[in-house]
Amino acid sequence: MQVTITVFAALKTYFKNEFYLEVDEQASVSQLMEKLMVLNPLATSVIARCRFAVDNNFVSSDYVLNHEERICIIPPSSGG
Amino acid sequence: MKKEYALFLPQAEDEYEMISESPIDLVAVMASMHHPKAGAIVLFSGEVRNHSKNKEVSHLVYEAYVPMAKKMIREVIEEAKKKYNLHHAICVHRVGQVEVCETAIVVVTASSHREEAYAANRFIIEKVKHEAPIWKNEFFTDGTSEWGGNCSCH
Repeated sequence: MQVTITVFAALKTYFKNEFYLEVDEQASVSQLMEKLMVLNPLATSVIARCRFAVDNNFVSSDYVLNHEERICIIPPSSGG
Repeated sequence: MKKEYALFLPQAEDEYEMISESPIDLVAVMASMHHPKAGAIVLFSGEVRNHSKNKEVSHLVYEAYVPMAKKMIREVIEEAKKKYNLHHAICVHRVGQVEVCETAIVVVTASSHREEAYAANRFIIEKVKHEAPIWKNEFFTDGTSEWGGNCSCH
């Protein structure tokens, strides 16, 4: 199934700002993380420290993705 | 060059947090926070300094996932108001380019007594810095740039 990935900040060094990604049916966030790390191994350490959000809410690593869902990958905060 | 400040007007209770693309007018922010029950108003201005990681800083550029940042700041403000019995509280964070000595974030808290205002202000800034989806890109005078990592307080 296809999902939309939106990245921010340092992740833009490794991925397009927004892109489609094919994932397995019933794929979880942790499986998505693994897929992204394979897609660009240089992003591994950043992805490992990211939070994931759907509909402006953080989701856990065992959250099951839905078809055509938009997942935002949130790097560690550095505001203020 | 004349600065264009964000137009800051007293807002309804549910519109008190902002993500601003324009320079923050601290005087206007402070003026909107007075309350007849508040004997103490504490203002924190987080400003861009000219040094970081042993290099000279030219400027910062802030990026935010705006809808989620606003939501989280609103939640932190609500939590602080209840926890510290505040009469007013506001947090405004810049996005875009912020120059040295400019305000990147302002937090104002108003309470009956100073103990709550100080504690609440610290509570809000720490939560926003560590949890809100906002990031700084540091640009140095040597031409390099680097996305901010975790807070330097760690």
